[in-house]
Amino acid sequence: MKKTLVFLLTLIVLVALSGCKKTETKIIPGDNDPFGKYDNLTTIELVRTSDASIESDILSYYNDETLQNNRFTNLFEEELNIKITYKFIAANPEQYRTKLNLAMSINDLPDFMMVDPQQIKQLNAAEQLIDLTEYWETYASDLLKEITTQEGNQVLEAATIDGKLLGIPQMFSSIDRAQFLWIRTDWIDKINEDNPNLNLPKEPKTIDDLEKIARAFMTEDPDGNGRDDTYGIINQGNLWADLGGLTALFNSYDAYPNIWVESDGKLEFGSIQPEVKETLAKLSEMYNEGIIHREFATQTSDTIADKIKTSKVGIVFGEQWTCAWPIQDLYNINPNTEWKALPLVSSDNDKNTKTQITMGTYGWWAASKSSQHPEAIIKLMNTYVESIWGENNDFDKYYMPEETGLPVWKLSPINPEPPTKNLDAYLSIKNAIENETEDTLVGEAKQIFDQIQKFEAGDKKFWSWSKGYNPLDEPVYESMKFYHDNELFQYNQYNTAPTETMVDRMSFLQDEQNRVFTGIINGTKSLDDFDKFVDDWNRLGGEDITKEVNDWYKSIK
Amino acid sequence: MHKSIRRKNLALHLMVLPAIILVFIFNYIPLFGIVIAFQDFVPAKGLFGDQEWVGLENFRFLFELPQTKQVIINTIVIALAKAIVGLIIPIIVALMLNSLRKQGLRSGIQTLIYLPHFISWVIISSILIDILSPSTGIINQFLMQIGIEPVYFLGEPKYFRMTLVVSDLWKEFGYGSILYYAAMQGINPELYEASDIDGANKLRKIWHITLPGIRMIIVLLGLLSLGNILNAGFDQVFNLYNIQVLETGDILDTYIYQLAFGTNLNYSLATAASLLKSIISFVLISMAYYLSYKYADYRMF
Repeated sequence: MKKTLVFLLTLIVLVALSGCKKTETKIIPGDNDPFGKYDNLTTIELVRTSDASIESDILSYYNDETLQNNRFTNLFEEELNIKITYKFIAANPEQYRTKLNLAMSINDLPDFMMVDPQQIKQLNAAEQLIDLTEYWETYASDLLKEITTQEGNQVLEAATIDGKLLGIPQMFSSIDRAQFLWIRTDWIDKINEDNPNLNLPKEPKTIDDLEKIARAFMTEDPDGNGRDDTYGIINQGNLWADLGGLTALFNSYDAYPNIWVESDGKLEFGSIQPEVKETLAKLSEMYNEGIIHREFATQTSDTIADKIKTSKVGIVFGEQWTCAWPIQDLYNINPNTEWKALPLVSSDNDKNTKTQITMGTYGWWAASKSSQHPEAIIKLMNTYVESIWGENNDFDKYYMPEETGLPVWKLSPINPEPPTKNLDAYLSIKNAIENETEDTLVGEAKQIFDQIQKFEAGDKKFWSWSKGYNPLDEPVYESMKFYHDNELFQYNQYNTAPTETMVDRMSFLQDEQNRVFTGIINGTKSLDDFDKFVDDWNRLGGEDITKEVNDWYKSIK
Repeated sequence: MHKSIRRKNLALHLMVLPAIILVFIFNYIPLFGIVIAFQDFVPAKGLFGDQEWVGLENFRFLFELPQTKQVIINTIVIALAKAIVGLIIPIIVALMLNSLRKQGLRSGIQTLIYLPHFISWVIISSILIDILSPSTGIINQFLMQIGIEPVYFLGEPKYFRMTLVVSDLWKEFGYGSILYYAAMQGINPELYEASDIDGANKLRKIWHITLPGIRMIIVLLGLLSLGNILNAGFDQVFNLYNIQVLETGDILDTYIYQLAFGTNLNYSLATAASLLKSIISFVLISMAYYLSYKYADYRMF
């Protein structure tokens, strides 16, 4: 009996100790060359996320490539002598989070992993990360540095703890996440023709305009099939979704839910401001009338896409890619459809509405203690951005081959991109068309221009490129330019790692918020429950969070 | 003599060993994870890492969350409703089956009502979402035909619990009826013959012979469902609910799932909630066992 006990205890101790095993890091003095090739084949272990479009579109077309073995792994091997392996490939972002958390809890980390500021904090507390400050200074190419800091230094600061840079941001465009009002203008025309005294405005400027149009879309049978089967505004269970969310309507009332905005020199949390209550009152009114879809709670991006494709709906809030998916699907069936992407409407006539956006990064690449070559991740990024946006780029091969239009860049495990690349491309296309010369177009702009040309030549598959970027087709980037020229972006002004109380409490407060807001909109809660929510929010940690956020805000001013 | 019994048992013990090892690995070793409920658990520090101990802080915060109380009420209401309906309806169906004379018809019905038991909730829920939709679903189309306003079964908080109970009943009543029906076959036919001689009618026979005859199995199934009172059906609710019906539809298991793997990823709180659930379940099962021992003379051990 005693023997067994001793044996069991030894076993437990052994298991426990093996969890604490630490690998000593040794920094190999390199050649300090951002593009320097390793002498020997160097294996780097990463983790990555896949998605349905990679499997079904890209890999099925380029069937000699796989996630493990493709144009990018070849590029990295040729240019840098780096061989990439994966600890795991997650099927979607949720699975990635779960798998990474599991890997973290058993100390089984890859060389590099994409994490968020909260995970950086946790990993740093457990002394699992390598300080990348020196490596970043030495190895980041000029182009990578330019891309990363184009919108300011906050992306680097967010991953900096005690002066140590612990993660390299993987940039994307923050302004490309701005919301637009997508509206079906052929329906407006048809209703105005059938019923001239309705006199619908062609470009809604205010909430009232929008409501009027939505009501007409709902009741006036815009699809002309003689049945009452069309909706006003379509939205979904996730109130803050990128397609069919309601953030845009909150913004119309100068409410900025979920982000921190300065007022009187202090940062305030947008979700608990009186403007939110005002918006909720309006939304619940719209829900009662049926302008907001009665079944919104069970809708998802996919069901919304279906409704757009089958001509059931003509108003949706979405990002700049909404024309590519799902509206292009509708256009393939019905080329007479006309859509416009307008800037957000306003609650009163005289002002422009700001659209809220947050810091432009997918995440941060952190190097674990086990990493033998911490600079490798930076070299990989250098090579990636150079191959697509560098001077001697091969945009066609590494970003999107012209013949297929497939986003092959997704095959790379790391993909930072210049924040204003799309707007820049639009501006140069606009410039080229105004000056009647295509010679100035290079790289992405040239490629987009070619896609527009294909549409003009009659290939309907390329409609979304024209709707996106053709200056003569009232494109979405003209509205983006309007935002940009009038400084209509409301950034989240808290842009660093989450505070201590945020880590503990924010997600609960967020859940509670979504529950209350949904309830108020669909009438299962009364408008006054908003005040109770604000009290709860403050009591359950919001007050502490606000204090911490403002301590930080004071410290950077 | 003594030794030979032992050898015979040894073989039996060896046969049960793999099962015991599996239970030990998957049910007993994870019990050590309970410590997470008393820590501020940070995955990066590792399972055996230097975690911060916070005592009962997680439990305190759990009860501070506005939703927790509602979730517990939801769980008990839904599970109780399911247990009661799921006890009575199958008995009635079994009685009806029992009085059917035609063997072929009876096994046909048995197979038919038993079938949904084998379909996963993932599949059933996508079918239900389709046929219950207020605008396009067949049930509401029918309601509109006969002049009733369409009902949003899966989106209206006040209907959601009913939808859960009815759909669960539809899926599982065949399973229950077969158990009761089998128990009824065990009743001595002489009892019925004797009652015939005494001139008892059908209802009298059911009341005085059939029901007392299956009393043990009713108590057993009732006892098992009491132990499950805090399991209101994760698969079903998880696949059917949405943000609009959280008010009445969120149950402990889905709540714990969201705490651990949803937006929160708070393993400590999820473990605390889970531990709490286990403790209450344990108390309930003990009570149910005591009651059934006292009143129905039922013993498991």
